[in-house]
Amino acid sequence: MKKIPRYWITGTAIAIAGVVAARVVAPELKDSHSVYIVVKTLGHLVAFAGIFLIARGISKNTE
Amino acid sequence: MNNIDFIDIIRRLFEGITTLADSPPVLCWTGVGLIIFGAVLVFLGKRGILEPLLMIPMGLGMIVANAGNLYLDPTTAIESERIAEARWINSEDRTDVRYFTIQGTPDFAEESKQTDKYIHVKSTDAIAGFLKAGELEIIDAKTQQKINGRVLLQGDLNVEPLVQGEKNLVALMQKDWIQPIYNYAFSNNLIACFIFMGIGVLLDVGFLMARPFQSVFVAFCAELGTIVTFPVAIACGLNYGEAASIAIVGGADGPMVLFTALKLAKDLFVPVTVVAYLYLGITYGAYPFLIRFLIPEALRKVRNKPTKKPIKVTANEKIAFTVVTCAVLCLLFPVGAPLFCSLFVGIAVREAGIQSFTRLIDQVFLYGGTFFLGLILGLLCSARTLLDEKVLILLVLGIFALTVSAVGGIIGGYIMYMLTGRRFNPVCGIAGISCVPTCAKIAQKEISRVAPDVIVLPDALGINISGVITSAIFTGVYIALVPMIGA
Repeated sequence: MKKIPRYWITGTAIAIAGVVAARVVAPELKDSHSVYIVVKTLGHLVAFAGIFLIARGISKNTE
Repeated sequence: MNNIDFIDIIRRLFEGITTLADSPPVLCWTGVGLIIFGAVLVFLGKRGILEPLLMIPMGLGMIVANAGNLYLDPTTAIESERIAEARWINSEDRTDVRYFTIQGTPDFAEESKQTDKYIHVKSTDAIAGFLKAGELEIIDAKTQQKINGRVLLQGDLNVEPLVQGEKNLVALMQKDWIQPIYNYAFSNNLIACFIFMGIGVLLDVGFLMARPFQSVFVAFCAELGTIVTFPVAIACGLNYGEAASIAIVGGADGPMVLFTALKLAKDLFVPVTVVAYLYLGITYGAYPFLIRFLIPEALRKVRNKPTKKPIKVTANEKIAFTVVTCAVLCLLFPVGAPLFCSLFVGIAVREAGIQSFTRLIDQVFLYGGTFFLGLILGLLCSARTLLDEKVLILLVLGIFALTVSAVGGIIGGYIMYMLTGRRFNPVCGIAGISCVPTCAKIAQKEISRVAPDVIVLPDALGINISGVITSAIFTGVYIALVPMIGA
C-alpha cells in the first residue's frame, strides 16, 4: 500500500483543529465577546493554514 | 354607438406606447433610455467589446422589459404583491392619473404624487377590495368628498421580482412566461450555482497547488476592494446587507455577486447584479490601461522565477485536495456551502475525467445558466425596478470596488516582486481578480506587448484560480457576518 505523505496527514489534522476551534470551541466562549472573536478568527486562520500546508507539500513534490 | 370609448380602444391598441406616455416623466424617460441602452448592449456584445454570451440576451431582455408594458388586470396587484405600484385614475378627467404609495402608516394613508391631493384607505382589506373591484368610491382627505375612479396597474408579462409565494406564482404563471424559471432557478441561486459548476470544470487547481504561496498571497491582496468597499458603502448610507453585496463586486465574480445580493439585499439584487456584470465587461477593457499606468515598462518585462524542477501534480492529489478544501470551507462557512459545493464538484468532475458529466456541466449548465442569467437580468431591468435612489451610489461603489481590487492585486504583485528578489512580474497581480481566465489572459497579453518571450500564464492562472476560491471565502464571510452584526 502506498504510504500517505506526511503533509497530507498534518495539513488535514491542522485544518480540522482550526474548524473545531472556530465552530465548536468559539461558540462555547460567547460570554466573553472578545475571547470568542479571537478564538473564532484564530480557528479560521489555522484551518486555512492546514489547507495551505497540504498545497505547499504537494508543490514540493517534484520529480 | 355613443357608448364606445374610442380613446380607450386606441389606448389598448397601442398599449406599449400609451403605457410609456402614461407613466410619470421620470419613469417614461428612464424606460426609453433603457430601451436604447439595451440596444447598445446587444450591439457591443455582437462587436465583442462586451461579453456577448451575457450582453445579447441581457440587452434584448432590457428592451422587452421596458417596451412590453401593458395595462394589467387590477387584481394582479394583489396577486403579485405590487399594491404599492397600483395607480388610480379619476373617472371624470381620466388623463389625470395619480400615483400613490402605501407608506405603511397605521391607517394606511396613501400619499399622491400631487401633494395637494390625498387618498385615505382605512385598511389593507380596503386596499385589496379597492384594487379587486377596480372601481371604488374613495374620499379625498382634504375636501372629504367622494371621488369616483378606477384602479390601473401598469406592468409587463415577464418577471415580477417580488413574487415569492407559491400561491402568487401559480396565479401569475399563466401570464408571466419566464416567471417559473425565475422562481425555481434564479431567485434560489440555482443558476448562479450552475455557472459556478461550469467555472469549476474550467479550473485546473494544479496551477494553484504548484505555487501556493504566491497564488494565495496575491489573490488575497486583490480582494482589497471587497474589504475596503464595505465600510465605504455603509458610510454612503447603505445597510450592511447592501454594503456587503456591492463590496463583493470587488471580487469580480458575477455568480458570487448574485448569490450575495439574493441572500443579503433582496430588494437591490437587480441593480447590484446588473452593475456587477456591466462593470465586469467594461473593466476588462480598462485594466490594461491601469496596468500600464501603475507598472513601468521595465518591470513589465521581468521574468518570473522558474521552479527548480517541473512540478507534477497528479489527478489523485487534485481530487484529494478538492475534497479536503471543500469539506473544510463548508465546515467553516455553512451558508456558502452551495457555492463551495458547485465549484468543487466541477473541479472534481474534471479531475475524475468523467467526460459525460464534464460535457453536461460545461456545455449545458454553464451556457444554459449564462443565457438565462443574461436574459432574466435584462427582463428585470425595467425602469420601475432601477429607479431607486441607491442605484447611483451602487454605480459609483461598483467601479470603486473593482478599481481598488485591481490596485490591491498590483500592490500584491509588487510585494511578491520584492519578496522574490525582483524575480516576479508585478503584472501577474491583476490575475488576482477572480474572473477566470480573463484576468490571467490580460496579464499575459500586457506582458507580451513589451516582452513577447516572457511567459507568465501558468503563474497567472494559479493566482486567478486562487482568486475564485478567495472570493468564495469572502462571500461566505460576508453572508455569515452580516446577519451577526445586523443586516
